[in-house]
Amino acid sequence: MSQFLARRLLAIVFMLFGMSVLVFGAMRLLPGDIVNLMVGMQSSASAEQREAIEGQYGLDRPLVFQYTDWMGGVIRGDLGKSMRSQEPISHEIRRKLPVTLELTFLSLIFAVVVAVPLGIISAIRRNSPVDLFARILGVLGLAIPNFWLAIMLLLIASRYFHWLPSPVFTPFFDDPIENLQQMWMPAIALGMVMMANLMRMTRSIMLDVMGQDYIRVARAKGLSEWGVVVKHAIKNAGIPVITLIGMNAGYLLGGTVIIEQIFGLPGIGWMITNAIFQRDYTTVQSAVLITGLLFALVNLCVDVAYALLDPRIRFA
Amino acid sequence: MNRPATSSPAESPTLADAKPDLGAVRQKSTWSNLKYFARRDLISTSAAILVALLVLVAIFGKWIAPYSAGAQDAMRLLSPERAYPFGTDNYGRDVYSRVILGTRVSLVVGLICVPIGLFVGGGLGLLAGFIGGKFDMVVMRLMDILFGFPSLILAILIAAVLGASLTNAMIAIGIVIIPIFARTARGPVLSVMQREYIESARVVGASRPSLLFRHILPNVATPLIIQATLSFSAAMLDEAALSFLGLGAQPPTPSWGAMLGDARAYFEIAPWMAIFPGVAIALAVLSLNLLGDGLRDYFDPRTRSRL
Repeated sequence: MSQFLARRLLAIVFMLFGMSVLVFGAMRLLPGDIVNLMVGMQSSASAEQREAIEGQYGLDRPLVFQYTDWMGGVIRGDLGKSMRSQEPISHEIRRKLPVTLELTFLSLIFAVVVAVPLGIISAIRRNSPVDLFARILGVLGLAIPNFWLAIMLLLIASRYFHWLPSPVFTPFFDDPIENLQQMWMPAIALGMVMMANLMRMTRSIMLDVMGQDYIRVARAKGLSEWGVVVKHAIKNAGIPVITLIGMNAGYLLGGTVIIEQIFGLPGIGWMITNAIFQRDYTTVQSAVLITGLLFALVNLCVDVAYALLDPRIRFA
Repeated sequence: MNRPATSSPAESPTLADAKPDLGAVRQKSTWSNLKYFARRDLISTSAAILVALLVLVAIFGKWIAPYSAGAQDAMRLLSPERAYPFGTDNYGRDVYSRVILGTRVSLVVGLICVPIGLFVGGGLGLLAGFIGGKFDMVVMRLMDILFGFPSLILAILIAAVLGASLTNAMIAIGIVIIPIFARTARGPVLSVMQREYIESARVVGASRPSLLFRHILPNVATPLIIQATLSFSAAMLDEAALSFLGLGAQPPTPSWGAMLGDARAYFEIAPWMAIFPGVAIALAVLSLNLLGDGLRDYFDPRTRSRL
C-alpha cells in the first residue's frame, strides 16, 4: 500500500513537472504579450516604458531563469503575483477554489441522488415506463452540451417562473440559501452528463447482479424483493459511483470553465480563461498547475478507494 | 454482383467456376447479416439512418438552406414564422439556414480531429506497446502529462496559443484526444504480444513490420474504431464549446457552438437563437453515440451496454 502510494505520488510529481513546462511554454508562445496589452495600443509607449514593465516582471531574463524563478516559488508554496492585479495568486485561488469545489461537489450530489435510485428502479422494473424514461434520459443526458442546458435552464426560469438567480455571487457561509439558489442550476447543467453515465452504469450493474446465484439464494430463503435489493444488490452500486468520479473529474473541472462563465460564478475555471485572454502568465501557470494537482489527487483517491472497496483489486 | 471477367486462361476451369459462387455466397451473407442486424437492433439502425441524413445535409446543405450563412436581409430577431422557420438572429440572418449549414462545420470537425487522434495517438500507442522498454515509458509518460489537464482547459490553452480560428480549434481538439487513442491502442497490443501465435509468427521468421501490421494491428483495430466513433461526437461537443467561448469558428462561419455563444446575450428576447442550434448539436451527438454503442455491441458483445 505505502509502496503503491509512493510510486503514484512520484508519478504525480513528474506529471505536474511536465505540465508546468508545457503551460509555461504555451504562455510564452501566446501571440500578443502582456507588455503590449499593458501599455495599451498607444504608439506613444516608448521603449523605456516597455523595458520598465519587462524588468518589473523579469520578462527580460532568459526563459530558463523565468521558469526556475516561478517553479522555485511554487515549490516553496509561493505561487507568484498576478501580473494584472498585483495580488498574490494564492489569495485569489483561496477565494475562488471553494466556488469551483462547491460547484463540482453539488454536481456530483445531483448525479448520485438522481442516478442511483433511478438506475436501480429501472433495472428492477425492466421494460416498465420508468425504465423507458430512465433510458431516454440516459441517452439524452450524454448528448446535450452542458452550456446549452445551462442556457435552457435560465430560459425556462425566466420565462415561466419570472425568476433569475442573482448575478452577484454569495458565498455559502455568508448566506447558504441565497448561495444554493444560485448554485442549483449550474450544478444540474454540469452534473447532467455524469448523471446519465452513472445511471446507465448502475442499471447495467444491477441487471447483472440481479441475475446472480446469491440473489436467487436470498430470494429462496424468503427475503422480500425489496429486502433482496437493499441488502444484497445495492452494495454493488458503490463501485460505479467511484469509477465515475474518476472518469469525470476532468470533465467536471473543464466544464466549470464554461458553466462558471454563464452563471457568473467567480471560480477557478473562469479565472483561467480570463487570465488566458489577458495574457496573465503567472496566473494561468499557477492556476492550471493547481487544477492539475487537484485532478491527480482525485484520481489517486479513486484508485485507493477501489482497492479498499473491492478486495479483488490489488495495488498493482 | 457481376464478377469482373479477368480470370486468366491459365486458370483451371474448376477454379474459375468456383470463384463466382464464393462471391455470391459472401454477398448474400453480408446482406442478410445487415438485415438481421437491422431487425435485431432497431435503435442502432435508426441512428445509422440519422447519421446518413446528417451527412447528406452536410454535403447538400448549400442547396437545402434557403439563405446563405451571411445573408442579413431580414429584420433582426424575428420570431419563427413561415419564411424563417427558426427565426432570425441579431444580425437578421436566418437561423434555419445557419443550422443547416452548421452541419458541415460540425462533421468536418469530427472528420479532421478524429484522424489526428487516431493516427498520432493510435500509432504512438501501437509502437509503445510493440517496442516497449524506454520508448514505451517516455511515450506513455508524455501521454500522462497531456491527460493531466482537464481536457477542455488543455484545448482552450492550445487554441489560444495557435490563435482563435476553426482550423486551430480542430488542431487543439485533435491533440487533446491523442492520449485517449494511445491508451486504447497500447493495452490490446500488450496482451496480444503475449499470445502464442505471435511467438510462432516470430519463430517462422516474420519481420517486425509484418508482425506489427499483419498480426497485431488487426487485434487493435476494433477498439480503435469504437473509440473513433465515440471521439467523433466528443470532438463535435468540444468544438461547440471552444466556438461558444470565441476560440473556435469566427463569424460569419455558421458553427452551432458559435451560434449558441451569440445567442447568450439574447436568450430572453430571442430564445429561438439558442434553442435550435442546441437541438442540432444534441441530435447529431445522440445519433453518433447510439451508432457507436451499436458498433461496440456488434463487434464486442461482451461489453454490451444493454441500453
